[in-house]
Amino acid sequence: MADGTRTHLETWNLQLAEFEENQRVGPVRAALGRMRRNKLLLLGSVLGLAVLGTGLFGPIISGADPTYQSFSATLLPPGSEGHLLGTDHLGRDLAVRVFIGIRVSLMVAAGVTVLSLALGLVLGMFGGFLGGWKDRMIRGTVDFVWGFPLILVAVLFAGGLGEGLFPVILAVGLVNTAAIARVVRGEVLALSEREFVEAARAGGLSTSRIMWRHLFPNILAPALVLASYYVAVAIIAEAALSFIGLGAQPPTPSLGGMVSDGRNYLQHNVPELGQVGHWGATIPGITILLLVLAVSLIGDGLRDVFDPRLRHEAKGVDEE
Amino acid sequence: MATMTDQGGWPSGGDQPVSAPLLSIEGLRTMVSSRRDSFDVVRGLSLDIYPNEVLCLVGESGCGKSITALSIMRLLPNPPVRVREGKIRFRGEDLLRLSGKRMRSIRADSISMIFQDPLTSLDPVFTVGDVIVEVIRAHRDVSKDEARRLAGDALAKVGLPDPISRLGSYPHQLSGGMRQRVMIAMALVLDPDILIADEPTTALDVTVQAQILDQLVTEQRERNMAMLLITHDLAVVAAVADRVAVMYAGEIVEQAPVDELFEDPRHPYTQGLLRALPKVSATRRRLDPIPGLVPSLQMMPPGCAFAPRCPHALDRCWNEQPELATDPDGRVFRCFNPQPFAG
Repeated sequence: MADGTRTHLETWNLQLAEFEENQRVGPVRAALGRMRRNKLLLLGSVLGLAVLGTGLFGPIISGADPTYQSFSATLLPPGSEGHLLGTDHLGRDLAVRVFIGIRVSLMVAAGVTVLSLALGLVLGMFGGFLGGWKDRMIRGTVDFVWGFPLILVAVLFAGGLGEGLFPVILAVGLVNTAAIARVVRGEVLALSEREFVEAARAGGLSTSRIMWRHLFPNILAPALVLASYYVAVAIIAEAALSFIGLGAQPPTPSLGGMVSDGRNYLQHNVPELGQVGHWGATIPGITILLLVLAVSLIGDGLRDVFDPRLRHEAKGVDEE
Repeated sequence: MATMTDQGGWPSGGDQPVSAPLLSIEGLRTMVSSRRDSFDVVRGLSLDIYPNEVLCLVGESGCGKSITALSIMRLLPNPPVRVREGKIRFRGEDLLRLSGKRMRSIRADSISMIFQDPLTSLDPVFTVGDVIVEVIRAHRDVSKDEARRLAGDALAKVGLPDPISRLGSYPHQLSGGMRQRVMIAMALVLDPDILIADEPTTALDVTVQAQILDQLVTEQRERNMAMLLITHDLAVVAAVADRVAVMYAGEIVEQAPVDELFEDPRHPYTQGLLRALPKVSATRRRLDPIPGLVPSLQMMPPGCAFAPRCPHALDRCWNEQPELATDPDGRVFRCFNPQPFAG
């Protein structure tokens, strides 16, 4: 066998080992063990923690003011004295602006995720389990929202509520809600067909109790995995909206806004250097990339750990 | 709880019921409706369940056995299935008219049900103990510890080895037979008056089937409980039933104590079923199936539902529906032209 691929027997043995581990130490500890051994998840977590740490502690350590402008120090390249990552066209320290930008991105992502997960779970569970006209109403609304392009929803919200982070959170949150509610509803429909729900009814449990005790715990793992994917979507959406000027408003630094500011100097030569000042756009751009990569790796890792149907599938396919 | 069951209704081998029915279904019509059409899957079914008896409801797939059971429990998947008319009397109340809350208090406590597939009847994210405790606490005001003790007792009663440590097991750690025992324990933990078992052994392998049936009958006898056993397996019927009701195309075609039914079936469908059984003594190697197919429930013939397949059908059978009637021998069946059974 080529390196990195597995035969079916090896895959089967892996699954068997997993099952035995489940039996031996219980599902929770087995999942924790799998998390520790999952290299994607490990890499993502390290990267994620690094980015998060930079966002949290960077501004404190740096001590610089992200809005302080100095026209005698514009477009300094990375590594200049006192400016680790250089300065932008207004002479503001790029490092501290990126750090604050990470904070803003994560705040928006957190807001969007909490909003969309909570609302998506509620709508999806009620729609899928109660059925009938309630389901049709919820589904209609969700499909309606889902049908709009994200940017259009954001523009509408910005038009109604003014620019800023709050309308961005609402717009991205609602569109993500639609995505999560659709998946949750599908999972709930599948779960309601399972006999244990019927058995719970036969046991005299009320609808609300069945939803809370039996559907919710079964739906939570897939919903969290899905939500971790939509964290990445939220970060990109915020960056895109800030790039076109609908998100964070100056002077609040945001990664998307910084890319937008910096892109003008991608073509202009900086006189003192005789070359283009790309860092105003590339440094926040790379930060967005790292942020999204970290979140995606964590999301994929979580899916591998919690969704046994997909586990081991990616590997060992090519050999056939 | 046990007031009605003390009398013993139709003890095994008895000829006549000696007390009033515990549960009485009158003219039940359950329909399936979709956007395009709607039709009855249970067509005016009447059936009494007496205290202390094992009543088997037999019939082929799709004849309405399970829908009847779910109608009693009010667990029909609505939409598309709902009860159109009829009464289900239980302790002076019509179950079909009870509030949702009152009906919930009856489920598991007075009328309990176990399902066909024990593999999917237990929630994978909860331990066996949690699931049973939850059912107990939905009906009784007891502490968690007390409920757990009751759950342990219930598991011990149904013959699960090492019941106390099994309380902490997840469903995937149990075999099919063990899971069905857990389902039985859960169904019986509140000491119901009636247990409805919908093909409880179909999903299990044959040796385990026998053990589970045994367990069910033992529990039924010990608790003086009535049991409605739904099955398509005539061997099971012969082994455990006191009384049998045969269903065909949504209605009951014959109803008799088990010995009478096997020795002297009156309805041509029952006769056909028995003739189709493989016989150890037979010299013929071919089985003897009932010719034809069950009529589509969307297009029922105007007369007797069995007429198209019946070897003895008269003109009258095609035009007129026979009633479920008692003949001079005291036998109950639905036929204009009964013929003696010739093995």
